Amino acid sequence: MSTAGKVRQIQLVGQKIRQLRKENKLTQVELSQRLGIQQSDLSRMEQGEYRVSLDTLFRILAEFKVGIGEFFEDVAKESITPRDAQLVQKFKDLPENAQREVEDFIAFKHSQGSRDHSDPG
Amino acid sequence: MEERFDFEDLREQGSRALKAGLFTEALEICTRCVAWAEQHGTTEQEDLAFCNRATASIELGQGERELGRLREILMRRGAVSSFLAAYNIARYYELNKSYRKALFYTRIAREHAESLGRRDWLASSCNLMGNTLLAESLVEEATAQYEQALELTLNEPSLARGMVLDNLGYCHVLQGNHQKGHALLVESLRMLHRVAPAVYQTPPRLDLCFLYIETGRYAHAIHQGTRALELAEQANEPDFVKNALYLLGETENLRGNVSGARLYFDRLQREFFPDASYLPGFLMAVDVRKLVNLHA
Repeated sequence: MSTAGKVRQIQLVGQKIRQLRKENKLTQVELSQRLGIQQSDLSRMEQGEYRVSLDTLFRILAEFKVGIGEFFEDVAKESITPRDAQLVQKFKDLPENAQREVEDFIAFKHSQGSRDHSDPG
Repeated sequence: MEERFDFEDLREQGSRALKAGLFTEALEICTRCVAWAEQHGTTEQEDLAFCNRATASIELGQGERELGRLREILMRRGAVSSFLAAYNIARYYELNKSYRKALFYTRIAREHAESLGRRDWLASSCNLMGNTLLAESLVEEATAQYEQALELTLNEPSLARGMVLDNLGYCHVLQGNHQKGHALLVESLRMLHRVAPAVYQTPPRLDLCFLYIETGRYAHAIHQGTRALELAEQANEPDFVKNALYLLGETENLRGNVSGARLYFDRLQREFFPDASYLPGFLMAVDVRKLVNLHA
């Protein structure tokens, strides 16, 4: 992943923390007290300027346990995982006719998947 | 006269054990020293002996009971014992992640070290101040403190110098100075390998693992991370184990070994965050390298 991508991610996590805090009608002081950190540190965290220990990171995530998957969906969406990148690279390395076959296969699997969803019986 | 000699001899033995990081041994020696001082010594000797024992207790995670008396000693304002008391209190707060309090007491320790003209204690104070600043993500300020600490320590292998090299190396890595960071971390690891118990190799190995991840040298990262994990497990150091599992998982994930990454993240969740079932999935999807401080 590019450096710009990583910077974007840390900013997104900060923005998400800020968004959830506001949705829960918490001030920075209240949330920082719950997390056991300084308000100024939370502020820097929301701006993507503050690194924390794994304990603190997961304490923050735990604080937002309601719908955490959904909460970080945007962040995850922006993440190209190494596996994703590898798959793309392998695809690009294939000759053009093989790429078309893969595309056809993906289309076939998608159509199969949508049939599975639409026809549970 | 013979008792006086015994006291100084014991105190010296205790100090040597402390400097070598042999804290269990130091605690035993220093406890004997305190017992002697309480029976035969002056208040100053009692304070000095107590401060040495407190250093060992704090490093062994038993420091809370020492805080009250350390504060009393600090209030008595004897120059040497005040430095030791302030430094010990600061170190206690650092280990307990109360960084603002640690910074407050480190400043007091530093003032005493300056007034005493003790370069070694000034170096220790700078290193401790660097630790608290780094934990607060003030990387540039921490770097300046570590550089000063390095200048003040004797240019010969020691536990203290090895730890400063590691701290400074990590700061350079965080700032993207990978080559400089690498040189410092390797020097730290070699030095600590020579002069300190094996567990002290864990931080530079973790930091090297992080550096190798940042520079895409995944095989090297796995090597350092795996060795760090072994050492951390042997020494029962949970914070180091957590960081090692996270770094190893991140490395495997980045080099495309999804099942390997999952194993490390699952173990991290199971052993340290049992209520956070979302954690392995989250770590597989989100790269948190820019969020995590291995020295916090």
